[in-house]
Amino acid sequence: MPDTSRTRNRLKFSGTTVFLYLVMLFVFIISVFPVLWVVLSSFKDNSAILSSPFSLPERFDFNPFIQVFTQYNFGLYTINSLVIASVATIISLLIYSMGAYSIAKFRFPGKNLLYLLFTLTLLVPPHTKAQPIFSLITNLGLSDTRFALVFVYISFGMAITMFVMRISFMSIPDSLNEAAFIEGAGFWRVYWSIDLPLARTGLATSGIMMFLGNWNEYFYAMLLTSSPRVRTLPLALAFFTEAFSYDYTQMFAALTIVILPGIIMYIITQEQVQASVASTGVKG
Amino acid sequence: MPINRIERRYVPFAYAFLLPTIAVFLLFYLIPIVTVVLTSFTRWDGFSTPTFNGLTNYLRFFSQSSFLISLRNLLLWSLIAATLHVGFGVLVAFVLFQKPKGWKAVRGVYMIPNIVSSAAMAMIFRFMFNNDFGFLNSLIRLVRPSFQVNWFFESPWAFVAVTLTWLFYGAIITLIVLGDLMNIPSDLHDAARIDGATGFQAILRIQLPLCRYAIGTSIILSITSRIAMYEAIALTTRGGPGDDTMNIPIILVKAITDLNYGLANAAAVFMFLMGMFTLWIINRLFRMNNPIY
Amino acid sequence: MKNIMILMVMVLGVSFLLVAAGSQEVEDNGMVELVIPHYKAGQNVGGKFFLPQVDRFNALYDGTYRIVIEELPQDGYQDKIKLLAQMNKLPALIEGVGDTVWFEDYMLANDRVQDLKPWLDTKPHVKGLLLDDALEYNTRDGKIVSLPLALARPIGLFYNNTMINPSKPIGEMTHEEFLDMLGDQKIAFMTSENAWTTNLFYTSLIAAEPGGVEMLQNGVEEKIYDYTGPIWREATTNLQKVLQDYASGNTLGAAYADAANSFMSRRSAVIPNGPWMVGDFAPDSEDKWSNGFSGDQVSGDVYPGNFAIANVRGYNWWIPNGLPERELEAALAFLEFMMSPDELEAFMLVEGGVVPKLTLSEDFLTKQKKNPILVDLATTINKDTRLAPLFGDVVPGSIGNMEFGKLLPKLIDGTFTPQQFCEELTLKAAETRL
Repeated sequence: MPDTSRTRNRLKFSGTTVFLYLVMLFVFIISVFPVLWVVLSSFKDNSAILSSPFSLPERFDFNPFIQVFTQYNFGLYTINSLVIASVATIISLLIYSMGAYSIAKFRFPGKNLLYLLFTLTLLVPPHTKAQPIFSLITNLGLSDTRFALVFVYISFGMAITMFVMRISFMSIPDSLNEAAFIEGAGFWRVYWSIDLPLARTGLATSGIMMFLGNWNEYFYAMLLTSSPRVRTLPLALAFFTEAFSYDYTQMFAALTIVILPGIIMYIITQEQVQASVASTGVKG
Repeated sequence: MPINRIERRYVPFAYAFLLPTIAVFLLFYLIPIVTVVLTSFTRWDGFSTPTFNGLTNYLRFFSQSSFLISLRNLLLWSLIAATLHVGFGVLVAFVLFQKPKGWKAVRGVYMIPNIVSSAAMAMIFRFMFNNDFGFLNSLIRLVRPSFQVNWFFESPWAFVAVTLTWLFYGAIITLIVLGDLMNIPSDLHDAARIDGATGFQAILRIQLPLCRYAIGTSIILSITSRIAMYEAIALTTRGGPGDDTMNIPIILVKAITDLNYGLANAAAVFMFLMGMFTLWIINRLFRMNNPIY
Repeated sequence: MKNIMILMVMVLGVSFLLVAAGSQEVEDNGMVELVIPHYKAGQNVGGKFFLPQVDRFNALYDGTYRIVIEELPQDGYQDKIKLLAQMNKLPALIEGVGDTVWFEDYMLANDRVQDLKPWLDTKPHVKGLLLDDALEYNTRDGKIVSLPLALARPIGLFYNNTMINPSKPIGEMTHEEFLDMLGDQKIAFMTSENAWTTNLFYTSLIAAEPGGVEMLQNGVEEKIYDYTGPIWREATTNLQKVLQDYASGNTLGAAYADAANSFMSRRSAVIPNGPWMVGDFAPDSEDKWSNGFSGDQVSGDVYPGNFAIANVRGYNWWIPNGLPERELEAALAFLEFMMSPDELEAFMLVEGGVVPKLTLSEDFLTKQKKNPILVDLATTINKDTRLAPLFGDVVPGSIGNMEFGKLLPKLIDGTFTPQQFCEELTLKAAETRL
């Protein structure tokens, strides 16, 4: 990228360079240390945790983890979580980016009211949603299915996606659309082939936020499913953390088990995720 | 920008595009929102028939002994979120945009705390800030061996501790802003360079204003997160010591514990209003309805 | 538009696939199968006894009845039951009620709970075991709305007998003597979560005041909102003193795990807690011990002043109204099974407690002797032991679960005088009224 070389040249003041690296170091530390500390502590015994917080574990005993992962079908739960979270994310991205597109690019009566209502859904307290959603899913006969969770998770992304996507569409110059419309391109085509690709950053950002929310969702997974067949990871993990309420080693181990699957997933997909955000195209 | 002919032709399509969103809204949110607003004017235990009691819940909500401190905390946290929190996220974005060596690794690593659920993150911070064996105090004791602070459970540290659980975790902000920075057309950079703008001037005059949507978005997202912040408090201080770290969601959940759904929903309506106010004021401040380019 | 249609059809198609993948056939072979969501399953501590019990029931009624436990996290149980109740889809057996107000004002008021009286009248061997107090509490308008308890598990305290050496049973001491005996040793208190261990000891301090026990006993039916009386002031003054002088070093911010850890690493000599904790003192829990702690160092006793915390006035297992006849039979059969002497004794061996109206078998007594703490707990409670419910059970929910613990740090560091503490708590309680 030509960008890179140019900005590099600008880093001639060593003071600036030092500052950049200090910020990066700080970010690195605050992001990695808490997690690393928890993982390391889970390998220490109680007295080591209490007396020497910085020491490295004397040995790495993976048995507790192996036990946990063999006792339950974690492979299945991971796949369930992955499928449910991704399907819900993709469907909501489609639905809400269409909605956000209308609101960002066109004028029509009721637009502001709709936008306000959609973004307010972010602040609807969870307790008031539980009962209506539970009856909706039960009445549709979807209880204890993966689809129940997909359906519910679709609804969760509304505010954030509407919000982020609207801004993304708004930062695309209107002139592009007008030119395309004058050339006779259809509505869907303009949306799908011109605007959506340019709003890629927004899609990626809201997609990531929604996926993470779905991936970690626990309450509705607990309410709406019961059999191990459709169980998701956070729900499965809740069964363990209950059992591990006593000594610190086990509490750290429980926490490690809770946070690790997500981080491993992220490390695997990191490249693609970051690549999708870093749009290379030049806008305008 | 008046509605032109082309645009008018496409209005029906615009509505059609909104239909799925409206459908989801009707299915999942209409009943809850209507319930919240209506029952906030009633005496209701959550299961029997609500009885209208006018503004009683609101009056009781505003006269709660913990209301004022919750409001103060909300304002302080919102202010910190809008300035320091978003500021840090933006700073990291600008740092990474300079693409120093290792920037990709840092960008990747910064997401990790966001992957961990907020419940697990709160637990981690409870351990990190533990007086006996927590990481933070052990570190401080290397310098000052007699140091004793129970972060989450002593005034005035509890407020600081709760703030620290999210203050520097702005990966989403960095993501949004970095995305916008990378989208700035290169001819604008070139133009700035020809004008003789040096690094900082280019940032102030060109890049920062062009990221105004992204920054506005970040501020709205982080303030609304403060309004709705629950787990970071419920799993650490639970609003204590005393009422030091109370906020509105904690009042709301406490009201539910006592089966006072009317009061809880009055608190929820108050949260709606705060959210609407945030949306409105940030939209104004950042001129988010006007096109950038 | 054509594209939209195609997409919509695709989305719908995926949806149906997902639905189809989720539905399940249920076969019927004349056996009654009850699917019961419950948290005492999987890794839950309660599952250790409950799941084998269900298996024994299924084996006994093989071919007739079968109970299937649907695993649920503990903190989700009450939520789910409430939602199922609203949808009229309750399972055949439910254990306990999260909040009594909901059960009384909604379930009982709408006559949605099965009356157990006709059944109990035909089962004198079950009825004969029930505790009088529990039976009275569960009798509403002549109906018995949930299975009254036969087993009481009074909560006292555990102490490390290598760290303190009481010259007489703690039950025979006053609080003052008890604290003198402690000397420099500490008690494992907490201020986090629901401040459980502190809650327990505070209850014993309230009970030590004249009229305290009666006040607590009356508090179950009529919750207490005013904590400014002399009993509260005195008890809180004592609590402040105990917290300042005898609390373990990690008390501030301690959750239950911290308190338990403090006791099981010899950092404190006393922990107030119920008999179910004996499992942690058994040899197979060795990995929880550190710093020279061992389960055989532990003795159990009641609180000073011969007081223990027990509340048998509560709701236990219940059955919703309107079950199909065969399902009701199965549910009742399970209740009867749990109340059989063998099962009750098996329960006592694992989780402690006493069934006063049951003549214990020789076999049981032999087995119980192998666990000296259980014997301790069973024998320290005598006919003079005064029993009363927990402080947290006689005050509004959020006071006992939340506000008490939240205000404790301010009592410890002296920001609040005992007087102010009581006033603050009273103010918070007033705000909880509907």
